[in-house]
Amino acid sequence: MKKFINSLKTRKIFQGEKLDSESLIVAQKLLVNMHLDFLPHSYVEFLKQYNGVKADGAYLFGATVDDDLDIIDKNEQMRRPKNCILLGYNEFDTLVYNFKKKMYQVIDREDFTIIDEYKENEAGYALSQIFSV
Amino acid sequence: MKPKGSKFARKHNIITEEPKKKLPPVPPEYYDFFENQYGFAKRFLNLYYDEQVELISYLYKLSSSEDKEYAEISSAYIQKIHELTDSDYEEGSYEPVAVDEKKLIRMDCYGSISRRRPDQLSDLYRYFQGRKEQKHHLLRDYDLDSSPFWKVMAQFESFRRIAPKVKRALYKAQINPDALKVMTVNDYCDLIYKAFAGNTEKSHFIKKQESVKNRFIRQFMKECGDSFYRLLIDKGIDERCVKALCNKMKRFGSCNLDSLIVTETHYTPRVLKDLKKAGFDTGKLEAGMPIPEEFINYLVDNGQEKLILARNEDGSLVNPYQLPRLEVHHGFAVKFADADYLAASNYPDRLVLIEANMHRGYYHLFDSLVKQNNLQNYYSRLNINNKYMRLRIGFSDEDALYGDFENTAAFRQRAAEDKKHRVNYFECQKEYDRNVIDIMSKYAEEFRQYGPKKMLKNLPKQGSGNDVKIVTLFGRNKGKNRE
Repeated sequence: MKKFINSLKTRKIFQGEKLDSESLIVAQKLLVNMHLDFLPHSYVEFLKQYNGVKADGAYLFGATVDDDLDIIDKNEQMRRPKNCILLGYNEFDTLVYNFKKKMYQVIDREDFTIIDEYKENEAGYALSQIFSV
Repeated sequence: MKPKGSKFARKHNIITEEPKKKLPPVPPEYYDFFENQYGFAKRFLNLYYDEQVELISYLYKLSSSEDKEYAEISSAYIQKIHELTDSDYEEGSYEPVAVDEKKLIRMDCYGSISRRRPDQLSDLYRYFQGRKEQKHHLLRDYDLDSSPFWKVMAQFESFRRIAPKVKRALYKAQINPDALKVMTVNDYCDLIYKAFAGNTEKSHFIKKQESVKNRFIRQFMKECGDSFYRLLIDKGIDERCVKALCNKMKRFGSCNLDSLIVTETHYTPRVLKDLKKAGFDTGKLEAGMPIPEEFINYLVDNGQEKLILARNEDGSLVNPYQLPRLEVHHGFAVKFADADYLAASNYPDRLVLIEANMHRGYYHLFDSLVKQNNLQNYYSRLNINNKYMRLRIGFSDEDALYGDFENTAAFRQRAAEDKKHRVNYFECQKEYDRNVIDIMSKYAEEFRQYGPKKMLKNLPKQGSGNDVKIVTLFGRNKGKNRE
C-alpha cells in the first residue's frame, strides 16, 4: 500500500477533503444500513491518506462530499455484484471489496467477470490496478 | 366543518376518505413526468444535465418495479431517451473472451502493466527464473514464435512493438529458451513489468502518450477538434478553459481535468507585470493582445505556467471543472471481441469519448449478464447505433460529434497486420498444455532433484503414462475464464 500511496504523491490528481472521523463513522453506518459491510481496514488506511481520488477516468471512492467520489452515492447508484462494496472504477473495470470472501476484486465493468482477486493485505496491488492507468 | 357525503351515504358508511393520490417514488420535481406523459422528450431535454442523469436512474429503477403502471411509463420513457441518443438496448448470448484476453485488451489500451504477485506466476517460469544455466544462451535462441501465449499477446500491435525488448530481457536474465514454450500471460507481464518499470506501481511499456487511448484522443482532435471547440464554447464554457483542454488533448492525448493548466489566452496587465518580473521582454506587448500558443506551451513545459494562469476578475483561479469530464467508452462491447478479432477492441473507430456522468449513469446502466456456464452467456447492453459517433456530452443531437476514423491508410495497414497475427486462444492453450508435458518430461530428472515440492507432486510416475492428469494438476492461470 505504501508504494501505491507514494506513487500518488508524484501525480496530479484530485482528492477529496481530508478524512475526519465523523465522516468515516457515518459512511460505515450507511454502508451497513445498505446491507453491506464495514470498509476493510486496509482501505480505511488508504482513506486516511487520500479520502478519495480521481484522475483520467479512474476513481477511488472516499467518505467525501465530492459527487464523483462519494462512496455512499456510488454504492447506491452503480451496479455492483452481491456482497460487494464498490470502491472505485476505471474505464474497463470496477474495484470492489467482497466482504463474504474478504477479498478485493477487480471485476469487468460490463459483465462482472473477476479479472483479479487480492487479499486484504494486498490492497496496494488492487488499488493500483484500478488507478494507475 | 360540514361532513362529507349525504346523510344516507354516511348512514350506510359508504362515504370513505377520498383515496389518496398515488405519488411516484421520485423526488417531487419529477412528478410532472408521471402526471403528464405528453412531450416527454422535449421536457426531458429542458432539464439540467445532472437532472437528466438523475431522472434516468429513477426511471431505470422504476422500470423493473412491481408497480406495473410506473414500470410501463418508465420503460417507455427510457426508450424515448435511447431514441434521443440514437442507442438501442440489445439482449443476446455470446461466448466470453478469456480473462487473459481481457487483461491484454486493457494493457493494449493503456500501454501499461501492473505489478504481478509471485503467486500469479507459473511454477515452471519461477523454476526457470532461478535455474543456473550451464551454457550461455544467445539472443537468437529466444524464438517468441515458439511461445503459445506470446502469440496470444502478439495479436496486439503494442506487444509486437516491444518484442525485441522482450527478447532482450529474456537474454539478459539468461532464462532458458525452453521457458518460452511454457510462459503464461502473467509470466510475460512479470518480465515486461521488470524490464520497463521505474519505481512505480505500473510500467508503461508504451510511452503514455503513444498508448491506444492517448492516440485516439489525439486523432479525435485532429479530425473533430474544431467542432469540439465550438461545441464547448456554445455551451457557455469559459474560452480559456476550452482552449486549455483542446491544447492538452491535441498535444498529449489526455483529457484529464485534474492536471489541466488553464492559462490566459490574451495578455492581461497582471500577466505582463508577472512576465516582466520574471525577466521576459514585454516592451512591445500590450494588454488584450493574444498570447501565442507556442509561448504558452513553452512556459507550461518549463514549469513557468504560474506567470500566465487564467484568473477571474476577483483574482481567483479559473475553475476547470466547468468543462465536461471525458472518459473513453468502448462502443463495441469488449466481450464480443472474439467474434471479430481481439485487437479490434481498441481500434479508434470503436472508441467514443463520453461525459463521465453519462458514461456511468446511462451507457453502463443497462449492462447485465446472466451466466449460464463458462461458454455461453446471456447479456444485455446499450449499443450506439451510429458507428461514426466519436463524442457525446449530452442527450441532444447537438451534443454528439461524428468522425470516420477507419478510413485512413494507417488504420488499414494496422488492421491488415493485426489480422495476420490473429490466433485462437483455445488452440494456443492446447499447444501450451502439450508443451508443459514435453518440458516436464524433458526436465523430469532435474525437477525430481531440485524442483519445488509442488512440482514434484505433478511429475509423472515412471511408466504411468497419465499425461492428461499432469496437465490438469499443473495447468494454472491459463483456462478460459479461470484465474
